[in-house]
Amino acid sequence: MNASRDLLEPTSLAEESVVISSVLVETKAASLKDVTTYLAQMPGVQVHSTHGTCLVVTIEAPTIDASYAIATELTAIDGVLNVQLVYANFEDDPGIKARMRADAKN
Amino acid sequence: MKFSRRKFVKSTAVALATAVATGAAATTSSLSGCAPKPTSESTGTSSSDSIKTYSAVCRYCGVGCGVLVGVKDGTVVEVTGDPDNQTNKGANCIKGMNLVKLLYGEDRLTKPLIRDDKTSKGTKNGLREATWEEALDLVAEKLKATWKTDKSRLAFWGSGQQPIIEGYALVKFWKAGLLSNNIDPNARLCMASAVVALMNTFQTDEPANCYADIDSADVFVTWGANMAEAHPVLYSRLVARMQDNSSVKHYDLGTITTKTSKSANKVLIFKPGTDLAIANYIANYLVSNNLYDADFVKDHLQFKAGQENLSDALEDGYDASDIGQKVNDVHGITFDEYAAMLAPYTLEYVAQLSGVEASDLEELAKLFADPKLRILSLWTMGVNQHNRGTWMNHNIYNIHLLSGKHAMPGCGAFSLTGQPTACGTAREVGTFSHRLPADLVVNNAQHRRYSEAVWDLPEGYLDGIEKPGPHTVKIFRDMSSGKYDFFWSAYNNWAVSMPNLTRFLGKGDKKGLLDTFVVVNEVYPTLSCDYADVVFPVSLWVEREGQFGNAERRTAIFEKAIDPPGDAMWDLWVFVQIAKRVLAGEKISDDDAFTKLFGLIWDNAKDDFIGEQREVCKTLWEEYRTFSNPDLNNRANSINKDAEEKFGTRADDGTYTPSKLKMEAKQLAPYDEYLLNHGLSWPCREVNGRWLGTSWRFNNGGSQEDGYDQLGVQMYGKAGLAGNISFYKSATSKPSVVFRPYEPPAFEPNEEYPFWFVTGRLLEQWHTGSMTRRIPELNDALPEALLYMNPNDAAALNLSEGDMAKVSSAYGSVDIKVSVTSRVQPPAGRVFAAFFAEETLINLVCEDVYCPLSKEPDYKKTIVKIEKR
Ligand code: SF4
Repeated sequence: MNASRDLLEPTSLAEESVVISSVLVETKAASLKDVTTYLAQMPGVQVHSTHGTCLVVTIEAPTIDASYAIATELTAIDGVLNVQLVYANFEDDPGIKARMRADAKN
Repeated sequence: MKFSRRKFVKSTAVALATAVATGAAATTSSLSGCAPKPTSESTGTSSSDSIKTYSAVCRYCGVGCGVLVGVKDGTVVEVTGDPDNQTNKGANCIKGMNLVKLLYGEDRLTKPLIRDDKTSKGTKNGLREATWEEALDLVAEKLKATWKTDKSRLAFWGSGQQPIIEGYALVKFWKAGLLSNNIDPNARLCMASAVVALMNTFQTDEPANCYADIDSADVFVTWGANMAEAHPVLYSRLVARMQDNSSVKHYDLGTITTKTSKSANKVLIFKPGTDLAIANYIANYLVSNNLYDADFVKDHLQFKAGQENLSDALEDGYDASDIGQKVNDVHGITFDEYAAMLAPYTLEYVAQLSGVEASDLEELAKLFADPKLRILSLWTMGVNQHNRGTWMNHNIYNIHLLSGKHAMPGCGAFSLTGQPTACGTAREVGTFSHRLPADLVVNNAQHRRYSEAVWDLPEGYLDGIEKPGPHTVKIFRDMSSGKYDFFWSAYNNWAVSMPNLTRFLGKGDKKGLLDTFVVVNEVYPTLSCDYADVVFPVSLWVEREGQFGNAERRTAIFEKAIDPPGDAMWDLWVFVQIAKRVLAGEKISDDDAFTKLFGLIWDNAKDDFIGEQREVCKTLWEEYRTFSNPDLNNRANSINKDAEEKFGTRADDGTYTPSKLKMEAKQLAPYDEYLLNHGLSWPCREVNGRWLGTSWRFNNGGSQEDGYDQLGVQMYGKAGLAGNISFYKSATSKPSVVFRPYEPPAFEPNEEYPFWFVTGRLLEQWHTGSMTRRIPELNDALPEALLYMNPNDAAALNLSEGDMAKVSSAYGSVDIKVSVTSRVQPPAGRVFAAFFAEETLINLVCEDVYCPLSKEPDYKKTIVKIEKR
């Protein structure tokens, strides 16, 4: 299954702080459907494609901490075997932004 | 974030994850929004959106995953699993999300610190800021004074987290500059048993297999290994393999049930220490039923037995005692004698001894007897941190060798490491008290001559370090007894990680540590800093260029991506500054000692490194890799071949058998190749102008391009042997199956101390927590050390979740909160705690006993009592 274009649209049109990451969620075969359904209702979480029992998922959250909390939550879902991180962009995380401003001044 | 930028970043995120999920041969250059692959020429390649990308290796655990680090305005803003690094092929565990935060903790050390008043030692007070000049001069003066007065009273304690080049320069300074073997790494606490067994068995260190074997094994056997928490990405691969193929089985053997047990078809919980007997039962089953691989045995193996009844290394005088002097003794035996030694390890006896169901033991043995099955044994601290750790490593090799299951795709005995460069630095560079680079040892004349050749030292110069130095536990025990004046540590936190801290922190022996002049290189204030006289603030992770070598022999470079904060400096700069001061006025023959050793990287006139960090690393690497590329140095090449007939044996008829070092067995590639390939596993071979790694050492079953050790076998081995294997580095090309019996733990529970206390690591908090505790999300997930108990044991002591308990051993005691949750499930009579928390210092309780061969402490079998607080 290919990533559908509209899923690439940001979850909000507002200009807001957002940390964006992508993870692979490996599920038990029998749980694939349930996990996909569960993920679909999680705020900031989108399933983009399925490859066997592996889901390509993005997480959008205001901070690294909030993103990590969601990733951790994914690991605890019934039927999820594994969550692996592929990419994380945290240029918008408030702590990192402050650091960038400080470093840019130095 | 602007809408268009957000869309772009999200597309990148999806494209990268899709490429990894589909196993597409993705490189970062092929994907939208990502930086091109770094090359040797360019440090930090620019991408279209002003983020510069650098290739790196994860800083956390022993797996050594590749990551790409994106930097904007001098700050790390992006991490991506490195698809070109074969260790993880683009996927990290979720801890990777927090990599950036480890750099930016509030309390980073940014100024050198000096303690003027020794009475403040052991407290959070007493350190004042100083200039680098003052701190360096003070440390150099103390080191030089100790060195000149009595060099047995100085020591350096390094690490399996010390980048390769920094470890190499340090070894050169300590061993060639100071002529001292008083140097050992924290890898003594985690890998030493694995090293000694590999050297005894194969005469070469480090595993023959690779991580990719996880993707093709039929059976996994985990021995005392909680991979789900300590090696997350490897465990993900294990789970994925089981998911892909329902016939793949996992047997988890341990003394407690862990998160790793979840994927196991069978969990075999055994009484502590009886793993030795379980392995011997499997060997006995194979031998007595004639189900071993007879061709493999005939072509490859020799049999030995060793000194038994070792008692336990409890007393300071153990190593020097009669039995302590004999622990390494072995003698050849016949196969039949070996079979007879195994005979007592019957199913009934071992089931009764270990507490494991006989049917489960037999089921496991039958798997090893099946010639078609690819079995991958994986182990870590449960095996290594064992009062017979070396023996237990032997016993795992024994069953894999007898069954002809080693060094093959998907099949082998694979010892994992606990730190990201325990292999690359502690083991390959040789920061142990008995070692020189590339498996060479100080007490072998040919090895010293070879090292002198590479370092351009006069012949015989290194005879001054012929006698191995003290191992880690001896250093700390002797320091406690007031036998040290100068102690320097880097990349570790011994005040939390050593066993028997009650003694080592000066609470037992009051003098010792408090009187010793202690120097600590650190990035954050740790408990070790509380005992330091001087603290040097240093660069962390990608604040400098460094190199890690992981358990699959893969060396990878992390590029310098950002500057260190404040006045923090590169550890290498610190070592060279101290070397320059201490060696001032010293000579090696007629040459200035410092210039002789470090002139290749240091410009005395400019008083600075020659070139940028990349150039410095490259220069040192090229010298270091001469150890495994003897043809780069004529003098070394001659010694490698024993061309002058100095080290071999001459028969009565005058025939000379040379002593060949076979240094190419660990051949390393030029520095640039590691950048171009995002890591390579040694031995590395040049084939048609391309440098290729090796996935399966000693295996001649395919081409070098496909990861086989084709050129190594061609050079030193023999084709056509069983399994297409040729163990060319072993004496007479035959690894040793050494019979190692069951001998009990140092202590067993009794009326006074009725529980076994097991220590270890958990996912969120890595080792002593000096990095992970700075990361709120990780720390919040596991904010304090907990005592995991069996609910029935807890109930019997009137303890509930969250109650405080006092845990006491004959060594010391600690107060700790009880948990009866299912994260770690000890059986009745056993409890578990992780060792990361300095406020709950569980190693105050941990016993002080080590494997007599490897000198690695046993952290898993302290007997304790538990009382409600
Ligand atoms: S498995 Fe270990 S090395 Fe790999 S990303 Fe996780 S913490 Fe880092």
